[in-house]
Amino acid sequence: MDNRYPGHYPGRMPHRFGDYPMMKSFELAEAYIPYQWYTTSFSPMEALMAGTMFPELVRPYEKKECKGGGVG
Amino acid sequence: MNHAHTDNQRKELLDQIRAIQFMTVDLNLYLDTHPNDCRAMNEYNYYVRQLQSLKREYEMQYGPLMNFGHSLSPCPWRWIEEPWPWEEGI
Repeated sequence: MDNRYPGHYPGRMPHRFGDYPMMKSFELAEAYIPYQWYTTSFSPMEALMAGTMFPELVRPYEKKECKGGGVG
Repeated sequence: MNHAHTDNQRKELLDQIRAIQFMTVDLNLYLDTHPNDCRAMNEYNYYVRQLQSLKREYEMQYGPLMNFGHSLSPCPWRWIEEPWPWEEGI
């Protein structure tokens, strides 16, 4: 976690499930992403074509068959 | 000189500028979240220098890449001389 701006990251609020009866047995959602480490990069032209210079971030759009028979 | 030939050279240089500029964009975004990665920063600076010299080379030969005060123009006004983006395939 980025600790440069501690003022902007207050400590975790205590759980107050009492205020939310329907949430008694659930935790709030928390998102995690792994930290990226720069290892290798594409050449500039490859990067432009791939939309990223990081090989691990390539997410090509692939055309898939439309199952429902819908339009588009 | 053959017109088609020089136009190909111009497009090749423009493609190079696009690719190098893309590297500066992606490294910039990476550095925003990894400000202490000196290797990435060296590469950023490397591409910035390369971009500056490619842009200078382009503008000397083919005219300004940007308007509104970013580039000087000889007379006559050179901004309107180049093909517009929709006049050529990317």
